[in-house]
Amino acid sequence: MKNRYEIDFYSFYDISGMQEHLEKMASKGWFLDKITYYYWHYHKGEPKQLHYSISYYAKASNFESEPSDGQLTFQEYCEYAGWKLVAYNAKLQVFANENGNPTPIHTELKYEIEEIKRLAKQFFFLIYMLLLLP
Amino acid sequence: MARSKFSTLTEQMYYVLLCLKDECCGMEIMDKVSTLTSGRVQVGSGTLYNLLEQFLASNMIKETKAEGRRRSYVITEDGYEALLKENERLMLQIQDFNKIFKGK
Repeated sequence: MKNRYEIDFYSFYDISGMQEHLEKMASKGWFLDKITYYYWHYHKGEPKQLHYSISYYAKASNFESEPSDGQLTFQEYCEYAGWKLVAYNAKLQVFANENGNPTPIHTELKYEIEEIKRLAKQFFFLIYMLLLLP
Repeated sequence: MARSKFSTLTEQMYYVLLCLKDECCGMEIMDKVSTLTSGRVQVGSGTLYNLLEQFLASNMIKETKAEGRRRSYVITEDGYEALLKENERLMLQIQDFNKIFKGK
């Protein structure tokens, strides 16, 4: 078996839960390489100790197939710091780092929280709109 | 309005602004902060991205050139003032420490 699919059961704000899960999967040789709205896809490889970081880019559109210039710049900064983008789906970005003790992507919690708040507002706005439908 | 959220600079904000005395691009800032502080302060790539965006919106830095997506920035008068204000705040903090522990 070289492929594995998983349904994403994590809440969007359970960042540490997702990261821990991905790190555990990598240590068993399963590496995330694709995220869709329905499943996460992994491929098999040599088990490795990797650090994962989930980072949201709230300004990304769910309807654009390509990331914006701003999002690409964000990803380039991360790559420069050793965080390689392994999978993304619109606003959700998953980075992996092979270094033993990498500098986290977010060194000021405030901005990470602001990004999640922005995301939550968009999410709940959509839910409320759906509830208002007759 | 935008300035009010920078009334106190965090350590990361302070060092990003400080490193922009001379023009540099985002990636250079990460290295500069780390070198200047001998690794004591590390600015995360995501945090740096957010800070540059907000400093730009508050006119504390300005863009000097753009080669593709590689953009360079430099501090503005407003950004320099914010650094001076933060210095003053830190000096007062040290003076207060001395008042309490050194009786000065």
